[in-house]
Amino acid sequence: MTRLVARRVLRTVPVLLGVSMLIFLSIRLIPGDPALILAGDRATGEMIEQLRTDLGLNRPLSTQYAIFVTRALAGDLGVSIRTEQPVTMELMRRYPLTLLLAGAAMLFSVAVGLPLGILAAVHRGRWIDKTSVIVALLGVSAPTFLVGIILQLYVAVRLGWLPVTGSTGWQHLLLPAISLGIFPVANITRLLRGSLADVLGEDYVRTARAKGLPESLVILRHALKPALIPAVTIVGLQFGSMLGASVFAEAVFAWPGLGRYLVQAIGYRDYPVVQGAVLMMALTYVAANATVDLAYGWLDPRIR
Amino acid sequence: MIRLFVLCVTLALLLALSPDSASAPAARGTLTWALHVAIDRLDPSASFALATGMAVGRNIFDRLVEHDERLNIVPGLATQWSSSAGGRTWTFRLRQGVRFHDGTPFNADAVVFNVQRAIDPQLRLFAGTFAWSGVRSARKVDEFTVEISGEQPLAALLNNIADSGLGVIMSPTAVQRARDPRDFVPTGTGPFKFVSWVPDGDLTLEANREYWGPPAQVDRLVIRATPTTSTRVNLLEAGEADLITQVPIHDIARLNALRGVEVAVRPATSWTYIAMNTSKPQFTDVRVRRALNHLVDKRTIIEKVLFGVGRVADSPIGSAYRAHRSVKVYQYDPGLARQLLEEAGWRAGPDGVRSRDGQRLAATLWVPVGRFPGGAEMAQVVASALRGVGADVRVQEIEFAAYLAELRRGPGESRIELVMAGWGTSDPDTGLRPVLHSESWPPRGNNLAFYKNPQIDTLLDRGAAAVDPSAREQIYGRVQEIIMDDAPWLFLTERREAVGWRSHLRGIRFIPSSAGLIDVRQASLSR
Amino acid sequence: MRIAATAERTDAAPAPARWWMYLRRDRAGLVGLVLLGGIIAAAIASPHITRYDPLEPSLSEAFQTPGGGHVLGTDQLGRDLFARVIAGARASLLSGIGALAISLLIGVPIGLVSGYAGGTWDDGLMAAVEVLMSFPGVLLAILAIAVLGPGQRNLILAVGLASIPVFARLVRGSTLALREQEYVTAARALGATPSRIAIRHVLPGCISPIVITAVLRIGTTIVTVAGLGFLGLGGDPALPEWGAMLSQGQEFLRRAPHIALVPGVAILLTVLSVNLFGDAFADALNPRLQPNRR
Repeated sequence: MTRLVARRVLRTVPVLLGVSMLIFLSIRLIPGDPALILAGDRATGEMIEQLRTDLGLNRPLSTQYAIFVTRALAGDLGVSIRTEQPVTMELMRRYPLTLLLAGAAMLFSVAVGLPLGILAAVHRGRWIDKTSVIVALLGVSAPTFLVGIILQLYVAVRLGWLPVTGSTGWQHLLLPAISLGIFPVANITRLLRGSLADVLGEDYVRTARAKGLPESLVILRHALKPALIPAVTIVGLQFGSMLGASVFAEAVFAWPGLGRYLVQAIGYRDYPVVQGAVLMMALTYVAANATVDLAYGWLDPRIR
Repeated sequence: MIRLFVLCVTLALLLALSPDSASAPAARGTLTWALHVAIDRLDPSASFALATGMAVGRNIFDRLVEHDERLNIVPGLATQWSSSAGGRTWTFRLRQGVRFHDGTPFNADAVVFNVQRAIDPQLRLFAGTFAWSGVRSARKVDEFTVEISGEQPLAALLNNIADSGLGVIMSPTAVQRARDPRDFVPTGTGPFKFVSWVPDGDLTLEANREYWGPPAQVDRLVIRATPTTSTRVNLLEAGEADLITQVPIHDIARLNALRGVEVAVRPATSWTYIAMNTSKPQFTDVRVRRALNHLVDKRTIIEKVLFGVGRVADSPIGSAYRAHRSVKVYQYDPGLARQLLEEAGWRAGPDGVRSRDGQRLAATLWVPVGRFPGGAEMAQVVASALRGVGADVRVQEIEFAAYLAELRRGPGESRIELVMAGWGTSDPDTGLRPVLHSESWPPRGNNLAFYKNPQIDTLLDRGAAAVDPSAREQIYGRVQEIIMDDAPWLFLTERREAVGWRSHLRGIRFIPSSAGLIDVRQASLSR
Repeated sequence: MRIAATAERTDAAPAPARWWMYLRRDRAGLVGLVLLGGIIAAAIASPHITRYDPLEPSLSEAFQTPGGGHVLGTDQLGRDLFARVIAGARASLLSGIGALAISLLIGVPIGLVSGYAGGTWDDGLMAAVEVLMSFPGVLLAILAIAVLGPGQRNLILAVGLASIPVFARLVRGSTLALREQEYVTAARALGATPSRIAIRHVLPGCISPIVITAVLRIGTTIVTVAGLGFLGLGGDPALPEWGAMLSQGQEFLRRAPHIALVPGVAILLTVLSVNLFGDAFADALNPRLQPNRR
């Protein structure tokens, strides 16, 4: 088992390196540069050139990259060009908020998807099944930003039940989390429906029923756990894609998380921030995938 | 009996020791201001950012001279000033008995330090350099007299250094103490003192009780970065912000109608226009440029797209400038436009697009995302009108950073055809020369139209050297006339800023200078 | 979206009759098909359905509410929303399909080569794919657009880029499974070149899962394209792309919510119909779900 873990972890290293290289290069390919933005439209050409040198932008790319990587390994992600604050600090102020949002969204989607999936599987083929599937499908068809806007308009603006924007209380988290969490509901529902239905047809379940156990106990104790295996996989993968989709929820509700900060930083060509933020996201993504892989291996006795 | 006595004594003691005794001033509140843009750094001389100038520059610092609401120059840290040697040398008599927030005395040494720092090319203090542009030396004459001089006449000096963020005077001690930009504590002589700053968050200031001028009427000033429009509006409506900037133009009427909320639309010196690249064959002919100007329905655009927040452009500069003259308005007249184009030889082809000598009347109109309220809509309306008479114009929204990069390209490589742009300062020299002088072609300046007119060049040069106000007005009046006639731009509108506040907020002043409209130094919160 | 059964079958895609018969029994799928058909028809016929111009502003008619002359109302520049939304159907559908086409064009060959050639090719290609996968899809698209510049064409390219890993891995998986089949080894023994084998013998076996996944992903690509339009990365603000319309409408949410809701509902209905149909289609093609539905 430890060998598996070690191998898995080792595999992430070249991937992260690749990510760092990709982001380093691609952001420098975007037209415009941070010196220009900092200086604004009134500075003279000489000033801008001088600024570029001071920012280290005129050094050869390989040097810049080497500096970036070596410092990153030590945990130093550089200093924001725009605000001159350490990138790590800036990210640390925002990343937890995005994780919080994604986590809350995940919680919501599980809380809705799980019962929906169970209902659909248990009452296979009947109207509950069809309805829950359609409801789930509706969720996956409505993009995060659309749901967000609608919720914002009706719940916050028209009804005034919840605040429109903000980040300090649980009330501020609710609407963005729901907007983000609606999407995976469909996948969770359908997956659970499929796998649970399969499990319910298995022998040992029929044995349990034959023994006279009440249906609910049958489902919960015997059928659910193995049925959850593929669902766990999905949850892990969805968490990763939620990090990306959080950009939309953050945009609509002005949630001060990493996604929004990153998009802004791209606009400012704030290289250190973009590099640091992407690296951090990639790290999370990779870690999530690795965890899912390992959890899968642990949960499914066949793989072990 | 004894117990009663002890009780009374205790009560008396408590009353006497409580902080709420008669000598302390009653609490006057915290003014919360939700600003539409974030402050990027605390050194106003390093940044052109509007927020930094308005929030940090104006409240924490003073300048040698200040603007009043009509852009007149009034005394600030200097009580008297005069110029000599044809405007090349300016002498300022400084105010006495003033101290910086850290106790450092304000005197000629401090001024000299600030000026030398601003013009030092090594330090790249863009805004500071702009403020003191043309200045070559600052010399201490005596403890409260400074002499500032340049090789050329410094006609725009007073206006430049009065602009909120640019000409600030900082405590030399504070500047020298900060080894790292992160340790910099903005220390000035102004009515508010710096307390704390969270980047992209709150800037907190407190009243300076030892201010040499009229004291602040609130205890604290909190300036919150709130770029999201809906959040700002909500903060105002909920009463969590006392003041907000950039009220969304389509919401003005609704907010103004709310009880307890006021919205005002105020002129600023800036204006929005569309530059036509006169070096491209489509736009070299002045008749074409005039014709196209007749297709911009400024009145309707301002009314419908900007919800009335604007003023029809009748001059290349805004009406808040003292030198402004209402020269001419190109009336919306598609019939006249067609006629002018025909006369100029532009005939419509089979696809409806006009051309002449094989050159199609086609162009892309660039609009930077998010820079101009209603910008994308204005562009679409203009483009549509142009298409209506046979000009093939498409709108392209481009990201601000890419926009800046494009605007830096020189004559040979510039891809500009039509581009929406804005400009505005507080002095006609800095308002016109960087955008219309032939020496200001990109990348050296912002003459996005690549306009070259020797007559204009001469006039602008003379204006830069003219210190006498009436001479300046005459010169710049002539410039405005020629430019309106020669039409290197599609003239659009002056910028108006919509500001909203809670009714209990009194004493806000509006100074239409380029670096910051709002002045809260004397604002108060009534009960 | 669906953890599809990887190719357990080695024959080509099932005969049309069987899956069509199955589909006819699935009411939800039929609804989706009909809806989708309607949307496509509207997209094709859009210039003829309405007399209003979706592109040209008409300021005097701005902000009209639905009803009367303008069935769905007008936007902030006076353009008829019905005309705009069906003109947008064309843009959105084409963008979604275009993006998908790009992911297929690049992802399938990568997966094929990776799975068939194995060894260093596999390691290298899969490492590259994993790097791509470590970026959240939206972010990759945003970066790609920033580099490529604004515009619909680049939007499609950028969204396509983000889906490449999905197909690469899928095809690789199928290829790995199919590689050891008897007829493949036989062809190899007969001296056929690797590329010939890969294309003529292995690829057809992958078609079924590719088609299933592709159909299921159309919805996602349409949504992503709309999302990027929503973030303002579309280029020409006059284009009636649904996401961009939604984003512009957000500003006027309080005053004239229909400006945002009309394109929003359009996105919803389109993606829903694609998903309903796609799901039923996938079920129909999936042998495992065929027999006992009860």
